[in-house]
Amino acid sequence: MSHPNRPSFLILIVIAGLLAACAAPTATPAPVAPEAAPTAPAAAPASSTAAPAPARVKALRLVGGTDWGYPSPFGFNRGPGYTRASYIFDTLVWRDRFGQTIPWLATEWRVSDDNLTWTFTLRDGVKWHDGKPLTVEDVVFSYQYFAKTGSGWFMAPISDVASVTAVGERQVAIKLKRPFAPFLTTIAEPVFIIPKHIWEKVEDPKKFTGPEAVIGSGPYKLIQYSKAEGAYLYEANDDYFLGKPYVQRLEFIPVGDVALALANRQIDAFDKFGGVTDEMLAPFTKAPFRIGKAPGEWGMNLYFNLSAQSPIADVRVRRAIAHTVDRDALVARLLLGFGEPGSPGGLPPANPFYNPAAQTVYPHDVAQAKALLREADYAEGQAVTINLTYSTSDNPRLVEMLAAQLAEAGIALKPVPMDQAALDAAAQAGNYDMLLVGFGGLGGDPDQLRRNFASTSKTVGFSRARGYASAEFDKLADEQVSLLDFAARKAALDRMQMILAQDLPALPLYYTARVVVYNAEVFDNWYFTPGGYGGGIPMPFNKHQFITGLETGLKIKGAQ
Amino acid sequence: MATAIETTPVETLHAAPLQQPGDITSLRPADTTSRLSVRDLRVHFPTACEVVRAVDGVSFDLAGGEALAVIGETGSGKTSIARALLGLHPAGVTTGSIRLAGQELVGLPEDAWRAVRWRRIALAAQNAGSAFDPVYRIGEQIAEPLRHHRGLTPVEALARAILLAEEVGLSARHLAAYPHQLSGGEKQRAMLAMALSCQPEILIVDEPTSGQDMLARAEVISLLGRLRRERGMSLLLISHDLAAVAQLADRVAVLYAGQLVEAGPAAGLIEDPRHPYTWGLRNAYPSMTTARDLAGIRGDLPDPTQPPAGCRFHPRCTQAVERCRLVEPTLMPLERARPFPRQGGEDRWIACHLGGLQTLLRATDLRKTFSTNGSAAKVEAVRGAGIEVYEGEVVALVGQTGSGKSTLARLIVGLEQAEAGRVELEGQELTALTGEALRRARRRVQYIAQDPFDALSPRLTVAEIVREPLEIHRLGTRAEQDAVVRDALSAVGLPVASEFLARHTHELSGGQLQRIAIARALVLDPKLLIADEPVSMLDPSEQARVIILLKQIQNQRGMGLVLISHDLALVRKVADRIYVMRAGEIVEWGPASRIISRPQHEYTGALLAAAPAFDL
Amino acid sequence: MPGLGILTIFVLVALLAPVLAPYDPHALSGQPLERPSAAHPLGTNDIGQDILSELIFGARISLIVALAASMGTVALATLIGAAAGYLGGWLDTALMRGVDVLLALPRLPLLILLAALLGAGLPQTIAIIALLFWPAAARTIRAQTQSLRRRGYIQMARQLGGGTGYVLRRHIVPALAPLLAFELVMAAGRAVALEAGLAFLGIGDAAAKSWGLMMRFALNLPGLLLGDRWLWWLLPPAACLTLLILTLTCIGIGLEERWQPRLKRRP
Repeated sequence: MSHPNRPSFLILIVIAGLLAACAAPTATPAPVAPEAAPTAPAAAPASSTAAPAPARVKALRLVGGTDWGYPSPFGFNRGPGYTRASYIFDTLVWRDRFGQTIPWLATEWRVSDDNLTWTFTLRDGVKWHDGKPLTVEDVVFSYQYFAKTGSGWFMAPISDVASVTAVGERQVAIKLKRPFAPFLTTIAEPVFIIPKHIWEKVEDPKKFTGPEAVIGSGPYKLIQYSKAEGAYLYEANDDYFLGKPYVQRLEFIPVGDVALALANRQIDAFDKFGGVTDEMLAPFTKAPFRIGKAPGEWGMNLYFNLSAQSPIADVRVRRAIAHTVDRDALVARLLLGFGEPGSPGGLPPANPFYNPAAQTVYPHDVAQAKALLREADYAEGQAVTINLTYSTSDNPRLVEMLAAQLAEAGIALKPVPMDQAALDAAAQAGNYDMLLVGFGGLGGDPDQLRRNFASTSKTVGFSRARGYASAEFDKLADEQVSLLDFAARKAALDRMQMILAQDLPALPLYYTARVVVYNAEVFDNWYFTPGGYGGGIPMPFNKHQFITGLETGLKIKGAQ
Repeated sequence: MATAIETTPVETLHAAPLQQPGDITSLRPADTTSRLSVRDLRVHFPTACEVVRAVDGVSFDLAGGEALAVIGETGSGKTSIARALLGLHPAGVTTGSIRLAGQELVGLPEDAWRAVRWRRIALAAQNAGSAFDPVYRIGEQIAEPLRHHRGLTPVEALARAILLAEEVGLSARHLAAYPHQLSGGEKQRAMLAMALSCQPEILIVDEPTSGQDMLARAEVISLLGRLRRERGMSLLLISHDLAAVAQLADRVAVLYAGQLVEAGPAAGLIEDPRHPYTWGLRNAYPSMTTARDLAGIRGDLPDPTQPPAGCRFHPRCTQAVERCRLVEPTLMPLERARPFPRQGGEDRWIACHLGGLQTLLRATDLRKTFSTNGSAAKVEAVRGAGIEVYEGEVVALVGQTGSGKSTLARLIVGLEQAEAGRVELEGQELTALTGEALRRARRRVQYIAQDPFDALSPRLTVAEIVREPLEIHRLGTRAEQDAVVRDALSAVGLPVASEFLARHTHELSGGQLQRIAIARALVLDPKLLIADEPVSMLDPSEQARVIILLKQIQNQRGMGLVLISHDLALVRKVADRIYVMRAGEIVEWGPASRIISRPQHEYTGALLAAAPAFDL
Repeated sequence: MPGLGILTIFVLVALLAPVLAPYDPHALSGQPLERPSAAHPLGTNDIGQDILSELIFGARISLIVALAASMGTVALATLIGAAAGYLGGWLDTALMRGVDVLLALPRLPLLILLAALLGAGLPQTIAIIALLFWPAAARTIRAQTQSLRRRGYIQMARQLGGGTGYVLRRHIVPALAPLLAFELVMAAGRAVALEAGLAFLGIGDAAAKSWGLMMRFALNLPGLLLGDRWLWWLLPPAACLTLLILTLTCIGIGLEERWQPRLKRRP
């Protein structure tokens, strides 16, 4: 993912800004500790004697500038959009800094002996933003509503839920069709609970975009949303069931150069996926700045549409491509070394189910690639031309480098650029030959391999492979989801990764390592949630950290 | 607007000239009241190897007491007619019929002629000076025919001569003088006295005013008028003096190369000539009042030994068509001669296939309103104005600045769109034409704008500017175009050196530019040139030169020319007719002579008064 | 004219780019983000391409765009402006209302819309620039044509039967030539700027080696301006662009003063 800048329109203005910027680094007292700023630490010592006046963050300014949709349960796009909606809507469970599932709207839960029925006990006194109480009826309604409106709401495999029923005033029983290992992480954690009294009247949720569509029970209320500027503004819900959120205000605002903006204190943090060097981070190695890093859970993939009439329908051509693409070079040049090469098995090293054996199936070997092409009846020197659909908001260098690398084996790319929304739609519709599509969640539950690649999967989305069918893979994919034993499940997934590597319905190119750079004076509780929050979102914007100001638990920092 | 210029209705006279002898009986029986009836008169002089056809089939009648003028250029056969009527040609030269009160004169023996000559038909010869014998006194010479023809005694004859002399305004002193002691006018009078001596029924006067000063001319005219009234005799005037003719004659017959081309009542014929020759003759005639330059008719009279086939005037005619070259036209009443007879008319006869002078341009009831700079105020620039231009004539459109004359011209040539009205060019309604037909019609009218600096592209060379009309109409090859360009430039007196052809407008003087504009207007060989204040940007000497040039070109090429000017003094030198325009309307129009001498609209008078009196 | 001299240098650099540039600008001739050295006088970019070579080849794109887009702009503007000014009437009204609307439209959304419709690539960029710039030039050309139409020699050519095509070709366009030359040069300057702007926005062919794209990639590096890297990565293309635009503008102003001292620019 890239954050397109919003540069000045006229180049002369750019130059003018450039000249102004010449003075900026020296004028910014970045490395020098500023004199006592009227910020939180000054108030902290007083808390022991005076009435508890929690030292809260008044506002946290984050990088905006890209529209991720209206943050209603049906209006958002992709992970960043889900994140923005997750500040308004809560789920039954959530996860903390260590990736541990923690109670959220549900205070406790238990699973039946047959591993089919999950019973959740709802928290008392939770209110919607409009003051109405959140009840079990809302939970039942939410699951039924999502099941009704689409088989794969934000890719949550909600179709595996057989029924949802209220058990008394405070409990909800969710019955599954089969034992489902990733139930908590891929269903209970991501699925928003939405107010029945609002949504039961809504016929077409996609078109429901009024202020009522963002009434949730979450820690923040949407104050302002600008589609054109990609700006989102939230204020804390002071009636939140955990208490007043630690960060009182969240602002996603458009900025130019994020590093420059942070250095100039225009924002309080930025994150970056790949493409980071020590030189770049050098200005932020001293107080008040801090840097947090995490391995890659977001990957760029080369998808092959096997149902399309093109050379890549032949697995030997796909293998030739895999041998030709120098994934290490992509990491070195596109990510500036800040990341890892993609694994043909489909899971990144950061995922506990990662199979290293899949990573080594296709060493960079152009001669081998040419041999494979000849095997596939392409004569030496005969150009193999393949359409490549890509997003204009992705790094254009990727296409440039891929084209250069594939040209070595005599494979020519015909670029088909699209904007991100058009690309996601084309990906979902299978309207491509080869597709460059990046997405996160790779550190989350490995069931994503089933959802994306099993021919039996009902998942709809841009990460769903087209035209791939392997009986052995399908069988293993259906089995692993019910294997509750880690070792048994990993064995199945290891095999699945090898099958994917052999058949190559997609070639993961690289995983971007992640960094978050922040001004610790303003807010210091930044982390990347292992496996991602909300079902795998790999960004450093877990709402838990903003609500509590702490790494774990449901207590709010500074509160009694 | 009326076409016919105001004419005095003349009572229909008893006889009209006819050319074909057969017509006399079939068309109109010989009128007994005709004193003289001439039919198909031919005077052919045989020379060594050719025949000079001096008169070639002329017919006319002369009633008692009537004055008929035969006009024509020198050499047209006028005098040969006169001599034929007196039987002065050698035997066999004169054929046809001359009947005097029913008596056939042609073929009469010489002694029979003596009874006619002097007694019944007398001639006052053209050259009064040489008609007298220098060794005899005038009185003796006047008395001579009295004695000779009437058998009077010398004393009776002398007494009679004194009476005759008094009648023509001569005294006894004149009678006693020798011819060389008399002035031209006095000799003319003496000649008249001599011609009247036998009291002829018909007096032929050959060029009575030629070679005389203005005063003598006026006296002769008034004398002839008085004599005719007092004696009740018929008068046959042979003259090229239109002013004299207009004052003396009842009818006029126009002779060209031995044939009559037009005949009719004098006033109407002179005011409104219909045959192109008459038209040219009238226009060529110097007039006291119009102060016009002598224009002349292009070309010369044909060789009388080899007259051209078809209409004898066709080589000089501006409107000649193929038929004119092949078929000899017949003199016939105007109403029958016109292809499209119009209402009204007069006792006018004409020998022209086209029915006489063609109307080149007829613009009627044109209207144009301008709105000034987007404001609601509208200016009616042209309010139902019109103009007519005949073949080969120069029409001046005069009026003060702002009178709408330029707009009228621009409406005619299509530079502005008229809101109402018609523009007919050679009988074609222009507004009814489109596309190629309109382009072809427009070619026939060329417009010369006031300001040559504006009207000629500063980016093109002289050659390109002049060639452009040909280029637009895709006429001829490049070489042919170049030749036409050079001809046109020569015609306007500009060099044709390649150095000059490659010049641009900023390298040329105003006079040169205006000449280039004229040359450019000529390359399409238009029938009508409309020049809008063509000299107003030039200095006075250049003005005169360009005006004279335009007139020359008009004359040589037989074009119509519309000259638009605010300067009456300038245009009256060249204009045949003048239209006076004021506030978008034509307030007066007519022959230039009439407009200048007797303006009828006060505005014209004011313009005249304002015009500088000097002549260039 | 010093402007012409500088322009000539740019043209020579563009023509001789393969000779002058030390590397193929697309070749990964070094490690990413190398600092200036003997091998790479201006260092390397984010994927290890030689910045100096990019800079030299970038002159080609800028000049091609300047030439093609300005000619496209002026051709369109002449066609529409001269037709409106010459033919007048309802056509003039319709065309000029259209121009007014286009001029009133905000540029950026229009750009993005056009880019979405036409796709990426140099020809598309040129087309976008021409489509964006013609209305302003058309308006000036129309005003000039209107005043020319009232000139006698043009009225005379029409009266003679010269068709619209003929009069436009023979008289109007040659008479407009100085204005067209001016508009051409000014459009070239604007085209260079807009091409850079489009590349900068990521609208256009991302693999092209243009100065705008160089700046875009440079500025995409977070914190570029915090270090000294901008000195050899951002400044050179920005300076080249500025110099080229200034040069073209100076030539344009020179032309305007020389040929059309009385020419009134937009009222």
